[in-house]
Amino acid sequence: MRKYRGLALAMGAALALSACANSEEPPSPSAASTTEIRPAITTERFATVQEEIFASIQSADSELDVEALKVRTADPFTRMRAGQYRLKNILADSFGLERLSTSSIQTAISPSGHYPYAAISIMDAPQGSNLQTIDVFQQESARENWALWGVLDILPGATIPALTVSDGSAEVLAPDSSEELVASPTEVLAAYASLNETGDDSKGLTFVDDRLSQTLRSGKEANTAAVEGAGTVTMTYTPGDGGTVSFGTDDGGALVIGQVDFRTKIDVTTEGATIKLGSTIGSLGTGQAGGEIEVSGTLDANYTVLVAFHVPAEGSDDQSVQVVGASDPILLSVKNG
Amino acid sequence: MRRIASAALATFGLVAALIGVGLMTIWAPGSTVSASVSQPEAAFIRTDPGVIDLIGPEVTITAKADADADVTLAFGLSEDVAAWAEGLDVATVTGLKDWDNLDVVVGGDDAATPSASPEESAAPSPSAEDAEAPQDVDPNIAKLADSDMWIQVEQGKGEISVSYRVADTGAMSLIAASSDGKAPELTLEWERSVSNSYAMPIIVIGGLVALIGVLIFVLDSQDRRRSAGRKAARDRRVDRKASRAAAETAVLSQVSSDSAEAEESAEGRSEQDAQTGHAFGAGILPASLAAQEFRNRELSDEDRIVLDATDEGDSAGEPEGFTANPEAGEGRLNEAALWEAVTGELAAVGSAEEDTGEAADAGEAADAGEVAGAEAVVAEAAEGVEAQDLAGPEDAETVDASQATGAERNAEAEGQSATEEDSDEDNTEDEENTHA
Repeated sequence: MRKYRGLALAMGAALALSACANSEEPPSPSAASTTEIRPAITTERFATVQEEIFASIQSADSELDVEALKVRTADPFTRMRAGQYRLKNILADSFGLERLSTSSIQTAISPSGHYPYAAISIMDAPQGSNLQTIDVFQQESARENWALWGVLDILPGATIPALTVSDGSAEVLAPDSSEELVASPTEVLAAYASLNETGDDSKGLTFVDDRLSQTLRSGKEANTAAVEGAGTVTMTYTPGDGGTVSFGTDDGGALVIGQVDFRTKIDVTTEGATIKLGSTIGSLGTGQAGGEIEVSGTLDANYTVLVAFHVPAEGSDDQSVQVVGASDPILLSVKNG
Repeated sequence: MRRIASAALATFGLVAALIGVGLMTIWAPGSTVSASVSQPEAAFIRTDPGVIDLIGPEVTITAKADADADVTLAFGLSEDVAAWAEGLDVATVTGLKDWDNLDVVVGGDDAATPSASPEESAAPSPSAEDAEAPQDVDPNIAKLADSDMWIQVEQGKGEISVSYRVADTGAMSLIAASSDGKAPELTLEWERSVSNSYAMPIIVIGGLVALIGVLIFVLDSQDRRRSAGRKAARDRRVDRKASRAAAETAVLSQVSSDSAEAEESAEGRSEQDAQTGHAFGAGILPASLAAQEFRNRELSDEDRIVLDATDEGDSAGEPEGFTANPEAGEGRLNEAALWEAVTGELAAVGSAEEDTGEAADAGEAADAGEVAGAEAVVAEAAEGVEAQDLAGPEDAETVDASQATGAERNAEAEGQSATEEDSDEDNTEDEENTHA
């Protein structure tokens, strides 16, 4: 019996040691650090997204399908493109949709973590133009896809300030962020609307005279001259519903992009007088190509335009706000009567 | 005791080494980890950060739903997946419950995830809608595959299996859904390197212990052999001493003389010869070159011993007749007298040489042609000390042996047999010393 004691001990030791093989506990997952800042989407992935966006818009353009357009566009671009669709439907080949460039030169993407995400790309000049464009993209929420928010031409002679990029992400400013700026994006947009409407009230800000304002003033003067003796022309400007998209710049300022709606109101003040309007207003008002609309009372023509501002940093030597980009004003609607 | 301990150590070490090998082979953990969860009560199933690369970066994911349902599986940054799933009816895999099952939480806390748009957050959750109308399918299921957020999207009918490599450790997640509105059954499978951290140390330690046991066993065996040899030698010495004690011995009386002249004279030598039983001056010279030179050396007149040939009358006073003219009758008479004088002493020496294994020398001494050698022996008798010095230590031993043998010879045949035994025992002792 005694001679088996050693064997029993050896067997016991073997069992104890073999138990080591399967006694390991499953590991617990270890999440990567969440403090690291990363872009909302990688540049490579965003290039693919851009292609999908432009492909989707191209498909919608071919059908002038606003619903299809909405898949990859967001207001204000959707609203502006839909207005073009309306004119295109009326004017057909005599009206051309705004051409879009699909070639990106440089892109800056907002950091992840807080929706909406935004991205801005400097694009090559589209076919038929010699002006590079600023394309703004936005992802409204996690379950929404990236969409084209707006397209603006870089105005001749303007310089787009270098954006602040850290850890691959561009700094994005909230619409009401006035810290270290001469004014918040919302205030800048409102001041610009006021300036164009009044001609002198810029709400305490200084704007460098820009080509868009000049064009708008010229249009107003032309319309006033056209209806002189029969009525009056007033133009009112308001910040658009699309809000602003703003990026910090290396000089401490900001690149602010916003929508400005403006209305041209023609009032016939002379009794019995009528004013005939053609062009796009007449076509859109009548729904026919080459159509003319007779105004005997009041006509409202609603437009919208995108404007890009370089807002200087607070305390900088030059406190003037400069318009560096703008889109073509788009006639959205005409209301006669 | 040492032998038992060594056997125990060797056995234990061997067993431990075998166990170590077993831990690396038959008891080694499986190289594949496969963990599953059956279809949870949710519209979507997603994983927490670090789950899909929990065991290794290479993972095979299988999502299984009803055979006619379209299954969608998407991979994205964990932050994006959590944001996309926020507010939806989603089951979250939080890790491994055990090696075979995934740990799943239905619902979960999405507070740490990036906030979705206010409209999304404010919308009633599909789970609440499902409670009222369980047959409705969440419309977001159809939108899952089209999100810009995903790095990779796979779709299939009924079941899909995807191999995915996680490039960003701890930052990737998956989300899956099926068109029937029920989250699919999910299986994650990893290959892992099989390694048992206990195995190699056990093998090494076991091997060392076994080696130590074997070494102790070998050393013990050597010690045992040495002890046995020492005991046998000791026994032989005891036997030899007992044998010597039992042998008969003879005592030679001390030889003394009154003066040098007496010692030099014939009477003195006769007296000494009588006192020593004819052993005085006897010696053996071995057949070596030195001995040969010693035998053939030129002797001066003073070194010569003139034997008194009393039986030969006038010739006794002419020793030069023996040396100068061996052909003459006087010479032969002197030679016969010499032989008579010498053989009385050499008889004992020759016998002793035979007893001590020096038969060849004894034969040479008995050869008639070795008369000069006999003379040398006689000369040695006159200068015994010098002759021993010339012959060297071995010769001295031989002389001692012959002297002892001579004494024993006087003690008849019994003494002779005792001498033979001594000689054998001396040889045995020499062998033992050499062995030691």
